Parts: sequence; C-alpha cells; structure tokens
Amino acid sequence: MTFTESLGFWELLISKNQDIQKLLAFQGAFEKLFNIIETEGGIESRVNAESALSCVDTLLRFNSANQVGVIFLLLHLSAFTYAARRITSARALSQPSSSLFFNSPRTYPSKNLHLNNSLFSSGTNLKRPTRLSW
Amino acid sequence: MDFLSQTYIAIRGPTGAPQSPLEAIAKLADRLGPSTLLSDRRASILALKGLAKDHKLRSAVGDHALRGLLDVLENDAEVDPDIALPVVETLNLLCDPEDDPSMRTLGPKYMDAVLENDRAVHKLLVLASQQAFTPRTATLKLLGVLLKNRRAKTQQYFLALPTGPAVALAMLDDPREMMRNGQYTYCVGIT
Repeated sequence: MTFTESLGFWELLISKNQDIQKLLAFQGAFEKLFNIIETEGGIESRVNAESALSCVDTLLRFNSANQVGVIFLLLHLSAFTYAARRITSARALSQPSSSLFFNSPRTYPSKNLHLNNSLFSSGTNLKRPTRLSW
Repeated sequence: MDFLSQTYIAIRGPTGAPQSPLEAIAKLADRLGPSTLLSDRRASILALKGLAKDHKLRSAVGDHALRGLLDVLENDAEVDPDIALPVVETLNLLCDPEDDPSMRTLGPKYMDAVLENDRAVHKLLVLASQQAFTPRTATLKLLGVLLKNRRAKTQQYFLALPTGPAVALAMLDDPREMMRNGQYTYCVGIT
C-alpha cells in the first residue's frame, strides 16, 4: 500500500527535473525499479510494476546521461547472467557423470551386476559397456 | 460546594456564554506554542484536526494555526509519531485543493506558506523515510500534493537536502521487508 504511494511520489518527484533524475539514477534507482518489477510478478503485475516502468521511462526520456548509464547497467547485468549461466551449465555438465556413478540409485544395480558378472563369467571387454549402460 | 461553583465560574469566564468555534480555534492555536507540554500540543492538534474537517471552519484553522502547526512539525514530529500523524493530516486537509471547491483559492495560499522555507519539506522527507506505517502514507500524500501543485519549488528543496536521494531510494526497498519490520514491532508490543 505504502509502496504504491511511494512510486506515485517518485513519478511526481522525477518529472521534468534532469538533476534529480541523474542523481537518483546514479545512486541505484534503476536496479531498485527493475527489482520491483521482478518481485511484483513482471509484466503480469498490475499497479506497481506499471508505475515502476513509468518511472524508468521518465528517468530515460530526454536524459542522455541516464540513457548511457542504463546501457552500461544492462551490459553489466547481461555479462553477469552470462557468467552465471556458464557456471551453472558447467556444474550441470560435471554433476550428472558423478551422480550417475556415485549418487544415483540407478548405479548400484548395474555396479552389482557388473561385479557379479565379472565374478561369475570371464568378463569380456565387449559385454562390460552394455551392462554398465543398462 | 460554593467554592467549587465560584471556581468554575471564574474559569468559565464572567458571561458564561458558550464558546464560539473561532475563539476555540484561537485558543487551540495558542496552545501550539513550544512552551506548553507535549501532551497539550498533541491534544490541541487533534482538536484542530477535527475542526479542520468542517469545511466552514477550515479557513479559520488555516489562518490561526498554520504557523503553529509548522512549528510543531519542525520540532516535535520526528520524535513523537503520535503527534506527526495528526499534524500531517491537518496540513493535508488545509493544502489539498482537490478536496473541496472552497479550497481552490485557500489551498494554494497555505501551500505557499508551507513552502515558505525548506524546513517543512525537509522534515516531511525525513518522516517519509521512517518505518512507521500510517504517518508515512499521510506524509507521502502531502508531499504528492505539494509536488503536483508547486513542483519546481519542492524539487529544489529536495535537491537541497543532502540525504534526499537516500530517503527517496529507501522508499523503494522491499515492501515485504517493511511489513516484516512492522510485524516485529507488533510482536515486541504484544509480548
């Protein structure tokens, strides 16, 4: 409730004053406004996300300093998300192999089978991979 | 008994005529001076707020008590949230020109008085950054009225306050965090 009123106050405060727009943008207003849009449910949200977007619009319109600033911010964010995606994908690549062999319950029967087979039969090289994959 | 009735007559005044609203407003405005007790000021502000809700008496309240209301806002509102809310609400009633047709001429006059110097706006911004819920809403409403009608001057005062940007950015923090802080306060209160 107060949040809606805060955004209404913001819309009035930053209108038609480039000094205030610059001052607030360079102290982290864009991050906070995007954060609000994200927490309020993105594009499906009703009042607050719309007010926050309108604040972003007011901060950017006719204000070249903020336009340059937001490009750097978005580049920084996209670089960050790219790095985060790389890290998670690297983890995802490394984890299935380990879980397949050590953690997953599926590995135990195959291991046992392999052990049993190697104990019982002569254990030829051709048969082992097929049984492991099963 | 005789003594009591004589004292009562002495306090009531010689005529014993019922007090007119204008006299009451003048007396209540006198009570807003810094020499009286904080509880006296709080009581008189609550009475003035009640009187300001009447459309006919609003101009009298504004003419007599606006200076005192601004003094209380500057001196007491930050330390006492119980006094901050009625002061801000009374100023809201006096300044909002859209509230009532009769306020279209009076509202701008009182707004100019509020914006005479930067102290009132600075104090309102400090109040808006505090965590208490109801004064904050009323303060934001009053600041919105001031910004809508006297935009350039209010923005100039905002820029003059060194903590202004920090205050404005603190408003955009997670609302759930604020609600949680409020709930903590309630929990501490009821235990």
